[in-house]
Amino acid sequence: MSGKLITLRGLVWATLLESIRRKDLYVLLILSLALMGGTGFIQFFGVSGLEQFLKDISLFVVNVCVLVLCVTATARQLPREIEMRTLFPLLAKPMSRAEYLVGKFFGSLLLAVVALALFAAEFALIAHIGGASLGWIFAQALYLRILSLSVVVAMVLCLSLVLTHSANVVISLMLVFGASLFSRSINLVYFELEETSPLVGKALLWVYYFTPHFDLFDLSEKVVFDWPPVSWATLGALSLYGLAYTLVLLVVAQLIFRRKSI
Amino acid sequence: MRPIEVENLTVYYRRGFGKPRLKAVDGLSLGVNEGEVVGFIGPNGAGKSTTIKVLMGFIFPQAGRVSVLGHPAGSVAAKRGIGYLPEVAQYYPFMTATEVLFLYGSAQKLSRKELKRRIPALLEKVGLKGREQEALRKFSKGMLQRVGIAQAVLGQPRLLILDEVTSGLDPVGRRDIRDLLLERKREGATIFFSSHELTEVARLCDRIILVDEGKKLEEHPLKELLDRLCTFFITFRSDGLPASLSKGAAVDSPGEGLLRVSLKDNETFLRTLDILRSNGAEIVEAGTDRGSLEEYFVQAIGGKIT
Repeated sequence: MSGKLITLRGLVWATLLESIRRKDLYVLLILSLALMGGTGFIQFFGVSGLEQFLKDISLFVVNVCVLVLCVTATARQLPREIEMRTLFPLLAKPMSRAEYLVGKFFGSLLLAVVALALFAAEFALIAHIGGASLGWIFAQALYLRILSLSVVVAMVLCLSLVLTHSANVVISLMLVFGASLFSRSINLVYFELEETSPLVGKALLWVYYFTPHFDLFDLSEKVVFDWPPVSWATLGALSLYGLAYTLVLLVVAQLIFRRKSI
Repeated sequence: MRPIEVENLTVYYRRGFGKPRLKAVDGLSLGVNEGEVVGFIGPNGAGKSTTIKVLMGFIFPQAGRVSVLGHPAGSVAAKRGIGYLPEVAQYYPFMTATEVLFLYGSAQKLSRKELKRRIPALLEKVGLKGREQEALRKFSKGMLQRVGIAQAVLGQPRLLILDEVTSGLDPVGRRDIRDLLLERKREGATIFFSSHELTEVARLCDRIILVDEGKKLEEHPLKELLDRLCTFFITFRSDGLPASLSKGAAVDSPGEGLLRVSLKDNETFLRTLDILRSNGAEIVEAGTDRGSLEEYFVQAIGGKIT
């Protein structure tokens, strides 16, 4: 194994180990199981035809739990390392700051993916017990969720270099959960202002394109209503979009971090 | 090429909006030779840790040139040969000592096989045998310092940069770490360390560099300095002071009718001894007072020790 890969493996392992030993994952797993299980329990009272409701609520719980875990765990990585000074002996080793950031990125992403896999397994089990079917669209939804998580991790990591931990968590969660609302609002305001104030309209258009559209990666509604799988072309385009955003955010993070005094 | 070369280093810290910047290091120049052990001493806030952070590439200076092992400070090439101990570090509290050394070892590109061989021996050397599988959150400050020293020497570096190396260690711990550092010195490693424990500095160093307010005040080979600080004394009983006794000699009375004369060099000491004997004085005691580094330190920084 090459030297860089050994370092990367070490950093990823340390990030994962921290979250496992802090028991964040277990707490959310139990909480989500209780929420999804509670929803699934309704059918035992003779209420039928609630498969869609069950899927809708359960998927919402999965998405919220994974995103909250992903944002909070990623946001604390760098500030905590600086605060506890664990960063100093680590950066004193023969690795670049870019390697460190990439290690933290993959560590946080792996944690999010592990959490998503566990929550998805929970969801599939509850859906199966509740008699709901999950088609190929569910696999696609999971794939796109992983892509959006990579953008989220890169964004939170980047913001953690300029914001405090709490500010980062709040802003990131607002950006992630408010993505769809934000896009729609900007669209509406843009069409209103396009003719009256073209300059403001143009600025809004830039903001629209500049902000990551997390809503594009969300196939929850299609899973709930058993849609057929989306086309490969759409998946490919979204993959490129997600990877490009991740890459740009990581490059920005590195540009900030490379000359940052710690 | 010397392992550490610093020329006209200047570092400012921002103190907040509207406030003037704080000059932490002010045109500091220093060098450390291959295989040398250099103690970097000075009062709190003298700029020692800032200089060390610049050497490690953690902070970026406003002016000056810094090279470590022939490479720019903070570069991967420089860090390949460095073992570093930070001033205060807690390490990962959720990990065990073995796990944390595996992490630091992997950051040094050491294979698992190599780490499995090195880590148990190293933990034994720093006195942590039997505690390898305990979580670090249960460790005392001294034990964490031992973990820190273990991670610093794990990659068998050519250059050790240690900030407050004996901080939090008990006397046994200090001895263990001193032995470990002396062993590294015998193997040819260069050691540059800061410490407030001047006894340890005196036991380990070949040379000391004294800094205050970000500037270098003095630097001396330790042996030369200790020789300079050394004084000679003669305690004797006599009816009066012989007239031929050198004028510069400091004489006091420790009591019981005794007189004590303090002298600066060996030659004057021997001459004075002859004069006293020829004048019929009864010599009670004669010898040397080893100078203390602490006294030198306090005098050199003008009693500003904190």
